[in-house]
Amino acid sequence: MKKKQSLKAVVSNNLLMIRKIFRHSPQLVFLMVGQGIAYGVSGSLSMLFLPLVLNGLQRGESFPEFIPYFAVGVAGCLVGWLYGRLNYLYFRPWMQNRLHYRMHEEIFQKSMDADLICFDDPEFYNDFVWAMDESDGRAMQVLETMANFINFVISLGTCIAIMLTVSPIVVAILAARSVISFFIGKYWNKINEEQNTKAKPYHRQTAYVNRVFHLVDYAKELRTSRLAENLAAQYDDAVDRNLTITLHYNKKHHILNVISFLLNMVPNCLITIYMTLGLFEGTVPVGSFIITLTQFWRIGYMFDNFSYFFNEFGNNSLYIEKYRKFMEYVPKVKSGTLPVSAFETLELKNVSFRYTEKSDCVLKNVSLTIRKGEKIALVGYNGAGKSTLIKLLMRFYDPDEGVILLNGIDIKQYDLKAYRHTIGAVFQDFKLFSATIAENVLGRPVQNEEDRQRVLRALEMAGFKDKCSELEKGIDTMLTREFDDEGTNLSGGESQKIAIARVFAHDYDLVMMDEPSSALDPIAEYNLNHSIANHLQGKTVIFISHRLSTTRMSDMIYMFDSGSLIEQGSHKELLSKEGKYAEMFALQAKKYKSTN
Amino acid sequence: MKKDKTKIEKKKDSLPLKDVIGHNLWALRQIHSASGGFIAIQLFTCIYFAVAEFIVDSWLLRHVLNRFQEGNASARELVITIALIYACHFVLWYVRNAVANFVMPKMRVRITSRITKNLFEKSLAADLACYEDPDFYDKYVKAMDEAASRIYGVLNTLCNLIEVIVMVLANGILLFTIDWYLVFFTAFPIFFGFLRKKELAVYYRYVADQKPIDRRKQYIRRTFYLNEYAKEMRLTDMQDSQVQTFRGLYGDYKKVLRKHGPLRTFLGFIGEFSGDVITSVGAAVYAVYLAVVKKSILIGDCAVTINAISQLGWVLNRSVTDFAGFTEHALYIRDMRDFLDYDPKIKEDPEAPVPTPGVICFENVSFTYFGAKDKVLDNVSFTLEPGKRFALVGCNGAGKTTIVKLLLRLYDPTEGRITLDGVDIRTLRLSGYRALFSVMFQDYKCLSMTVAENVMQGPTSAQDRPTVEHALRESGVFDKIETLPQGIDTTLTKEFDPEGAVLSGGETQKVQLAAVFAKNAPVAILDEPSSALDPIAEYKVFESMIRATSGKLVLFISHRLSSAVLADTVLVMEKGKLVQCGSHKELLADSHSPYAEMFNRQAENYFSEEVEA
Repeated sequence: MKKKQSLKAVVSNNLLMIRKIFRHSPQLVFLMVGQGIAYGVSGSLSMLFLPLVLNGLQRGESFPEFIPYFAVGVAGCLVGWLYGRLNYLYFRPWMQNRLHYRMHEEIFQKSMDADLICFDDPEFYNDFVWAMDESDGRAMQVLETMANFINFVISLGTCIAIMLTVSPIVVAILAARSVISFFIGKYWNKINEEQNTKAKPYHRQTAYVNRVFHLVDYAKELRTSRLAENLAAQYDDAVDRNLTITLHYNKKHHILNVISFLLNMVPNCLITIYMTLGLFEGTVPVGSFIITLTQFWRIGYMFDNFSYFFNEFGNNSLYIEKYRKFMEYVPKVKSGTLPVSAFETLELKNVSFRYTEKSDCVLKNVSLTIRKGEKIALVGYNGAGKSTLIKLLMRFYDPDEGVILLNGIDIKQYDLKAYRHTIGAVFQDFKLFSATIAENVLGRPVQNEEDRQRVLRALEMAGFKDKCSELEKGIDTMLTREFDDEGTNLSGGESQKIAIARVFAHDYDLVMMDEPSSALDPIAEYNLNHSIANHLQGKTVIFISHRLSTTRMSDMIYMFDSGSLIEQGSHKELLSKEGKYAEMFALQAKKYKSTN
Repeated sequence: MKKDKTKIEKKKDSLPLKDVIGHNLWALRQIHSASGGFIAIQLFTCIYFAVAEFIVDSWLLRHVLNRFQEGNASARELVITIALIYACHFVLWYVRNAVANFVMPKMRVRITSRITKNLFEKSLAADLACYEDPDFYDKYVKAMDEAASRIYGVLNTLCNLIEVIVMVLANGILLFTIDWYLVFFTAFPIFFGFLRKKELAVYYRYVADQKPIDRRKQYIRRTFYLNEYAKEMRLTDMQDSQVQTFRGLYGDYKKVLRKHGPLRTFLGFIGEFSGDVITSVGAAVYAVYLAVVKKSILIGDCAVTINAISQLGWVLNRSVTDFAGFTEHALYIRDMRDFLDYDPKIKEDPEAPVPTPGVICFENVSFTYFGAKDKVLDNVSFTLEPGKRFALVGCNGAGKTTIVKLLLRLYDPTEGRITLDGVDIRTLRLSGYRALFSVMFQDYKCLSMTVAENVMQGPTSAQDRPTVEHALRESGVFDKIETLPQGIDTTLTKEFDPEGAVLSGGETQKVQLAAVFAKNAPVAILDEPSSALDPIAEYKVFESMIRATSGKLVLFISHRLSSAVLADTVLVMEKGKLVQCGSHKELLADSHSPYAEMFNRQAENYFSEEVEA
């Protein structure tokens, strides 16, 4: 992640972010510039206070003559304090949150354009999750760095001005020291990064063991096996290795610590001695002595901070780069422009697909035609490519080779959103949202009474009616407790029924069901099959199922084996062919037959 | 959830001082018992730093100035003093640094490991039912996540506080020797400290009100970035509703701001005004008055006063937050201790007899999950004899998996009892009892360990290799495992080995089945062994299951009734009740029985085909 960046890139990235923030909330940018100035002025006034008083004392001024100096001190406190309080406690939370929400909406929008394949690409995905999690925090960080920098420049100016009037040599010594510590700091960063990279796997290992112990998913296994011993050993091992790494690097740390300490102490000691000698020789007035000894740490500290800002802007820039990469991502699955016409045929021509360039083909040269009203079953062993095929049909991915044609036209040419809207689907790994049952079924908020009726009908077809009537709020019941403490958690089978109801709720041209009955019991499965036969009449339906009993009711069966289409035909045709399908069917039927 | 949060917030304000001290002391004892010197080193460090800072920053300046103005010292003498102080500083610092870099990491590991291991042990002993109690689970997860950092946190806060005290004392004495009235100015921030506390309380409320909004926000973000939602989000208009809800949350947030913003701002104003302005500028005015009007102090003392006061103000302001730190630690530690003090209901009793395999009997067993109203099992009785195969069938939610959990004593029945050869299993030694079973759970996940370790379900040695290979062959996944780069020594999942193998659902299940075969326990339990398998694989699994478990007591759950045929006895569950029990043939004899109805529904597809074909 730590790449070398050109100064130009750093500046342009930081500016880009500030411009972006300005678009969402110009007030926030003004507020933060104001903060920089207010703190700078306030700090400068406070710094001036002591020298002014000392000067007054040395000149032997009378008490009333000190009043303006006191006023400077009070003003210094007041400016920073007023601005700081109003800013942090009041204005900033408002504006910051507006920024937060605005940026998120933008990211949400962008994330919907991202191809599904991005979710499989860890590099992209990490950036994506990062953009989601931290981009607005980082945006604030950019502003904060900017404000601090403004403050820094003003304060440093004042500080140098004061110091130059009392002892210019001190300024020179401290500047020289800061140059050295800048390079040490760089080396230090390098070492830290090296150490972190080496230790990372072990941190992950301990975190993993921790997780296994406290997740309910593993609780049963841990109690009925001796796996806990393995985990404890893994934990110890990780901790030991991590300690070895720490101790190894601490040798370097120790030396660097000593060098830094000396870099600090030696000039301090020398300056103190130098000033003391000057005091006794009479070349240094008491006031200058005091100002130097009480203030010189400040200037040293500030010089060191130069590298801090340097780093900070650089860091920000690295993150903004990620954000930029994400926001500028051009989806590979692009929308076409044609409106979608009524479903007639869907045709795959020599379609091949692989998830990444390195991986094997998941689908190899598949050609098939689906006609309106057909019930299609895709069967085959685990990993034969069935789920991938339906994802291609939904244009979650585009084929690497070959084309998919809807009514004779490449599906890439249709408007993507409109095309997907013609498809209803139940996924194998379906997910319900933390919304009402009705919203989950409709896939959007309920708008009118007609919608409600539609939902009720769909739930009935999916076999959820009985359960629904048990629920106090019926179809307005909130699912999961994310949003509503009274929300309902449904069982696997019940959830699946809601997912199934989705395809009944709208008038889809094409319905796809990936293992729709995996969590259903035999009776529910039986009812579902009947429901599909009755209510999806005339619709084109594609099933994926291990259960051959389900496939029996289809018009066409396509049997896949490691990505290739190996058999096709009706159930009867395939049985008489005595191929793989017949073999599979016979095995399952055997157990039922043998006992009757 | 919402109610819980407010409850916790209320507790936060009202944890009695005695408990705060008690919990913090407990944390320190934990550190001390794991590594004796650790606390001493830390305390020494913080005192040393505070003293060093005081000497170098305040004392030295005053010393040089006073000597100079008294006119009775030579520059040489002072230069030697300065050099000596810095030299001492360096030596002490060097020792401290070496200890911090070379000794403390080891101590830290000892302490952290000890705390974590304690929690691991405790979490293993905790009843499975605890996972269903959200309050308990919350505490537990928090304890796991924050244990070490909180315990160190106590020590850090203590060190900060001691640093503050040393600084205050040193500067206070210094000021006192200059002019004892000055001490009053240092008292201002303490006096107004209560305002800071009040401000903090408002802040906590503000954060608490924000929490539920945050939780929802997180959820919506997840629906956008988690792979599992990606398909549905793209296919439906759900994304629009999500964005709308998100906007609504912004409105909620604004309400929270409106509620707390003004009071926070006001309190902050007053608090800082008292601390900063009155103290630092006020003391400066008084010091100048002393120097100019009363002429009772020298310029040097006047400067030192102004310097010391501003430092003190800053330090004292911070100390209020430090005290709040103790309260916060105490709250976490209280939860952690609650968890550590939890006494599991189902626990290992070393006195109890180790059982031998035998007849297992459910006698009028009823069971209700924690917090649930309805019984999951209702007066269930049956007997499992050794050497026989039992199938447990029924619809979803009929209570099949719960029976398995009770059988393994992951829970104890709410009513009735389970016996092994007539002895209540609650009186038997837990580890010995559980050792009688090898189980394959429905929702199994492979752990990030080698295939062999996953199969042996524990530490492995070279002698185990044939067992592992044999078991994998039996379950039909050996061919696949052999293709992995390191065979049975391949680590599963990419969790921390980038070369790790990721198995498909079916393969995972076969590995787990191999674990059942490898353990070779007297009783084998298989919960839905075939749900992730395709038909041919399923057939093979059942075949090998019968072969590998011959002569054992086998209990399997499946809703594919075809497999029930393999059992000697079929137990049919319906809504928590055992409705039928008998051999497949017996049950089919009555064609109106629930079992026959289910079986025929499923078989219908095959038979009608038979007729047609």
